Amino acid sequence: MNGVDLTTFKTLFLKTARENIEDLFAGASTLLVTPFPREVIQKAYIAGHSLKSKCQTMGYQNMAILSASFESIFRRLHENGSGHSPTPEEIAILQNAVEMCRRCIANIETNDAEIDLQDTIKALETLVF
Amino acid sequence: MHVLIADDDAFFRTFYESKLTETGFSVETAADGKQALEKAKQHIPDLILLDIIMPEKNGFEVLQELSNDPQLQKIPVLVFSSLGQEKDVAKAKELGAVDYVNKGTLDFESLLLKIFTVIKPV
Repeated sequence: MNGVDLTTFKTLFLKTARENIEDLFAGASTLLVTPFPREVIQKAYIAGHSLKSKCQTMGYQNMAILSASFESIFRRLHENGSGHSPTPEEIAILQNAVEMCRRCIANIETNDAEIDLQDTIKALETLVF
Repeated sequence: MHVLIADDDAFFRTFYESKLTETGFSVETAADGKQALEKAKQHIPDLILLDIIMPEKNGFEVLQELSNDPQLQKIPVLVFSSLGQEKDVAKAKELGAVDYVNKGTLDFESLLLKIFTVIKPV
């Protein structure tokens, strides 16, 4: 966001981003249950949306794009219900992507820089549910 | 001028409350759509900044209820949007939102200009 000193909000960003990431992890993991609980998926959808917005605001574009993928995936799952049961391989892709989010946030905290998330973003694009 | 910010994310509630308060606005916040409607009824704001995707009631449901309430229907609403939400913004405008604010790219001065454009002088 232009014209605003965002450094004072970094601590809050890190805290709330981590909360969003844990909701994403819960969402990914709950897909192992059939039928999966819709409220957990909805929470993951909202988390993806929130994470995307705040990463965009703070200037972390890789995380914003990755979060947008999560938002889209969980939105579809929330709207379509259990029409598609994700395979263990697909769930693993989601869980790995969440782990990459964690690492990226850790790097932002330590080095104020994102990590390369291109491969992770491409992997999520292969998920078609 | 009194602004109600409705956003489920603590980061954005704190961020916008802080910046608007610094600028001289009186600010109240709500963490979900249901709370937003309750607070709007208790203390009618001059403007609502409304997130669309929220738990309890979402932004669309809030807009619908605002438009159905004679006391609240004239409150101008700016909806928050972010990457990939163009269709949501269009739907929000159909439901009565006057404009949108892109959380990710809009600078704060432009936000203030939008606010002063939509808040009608008493």
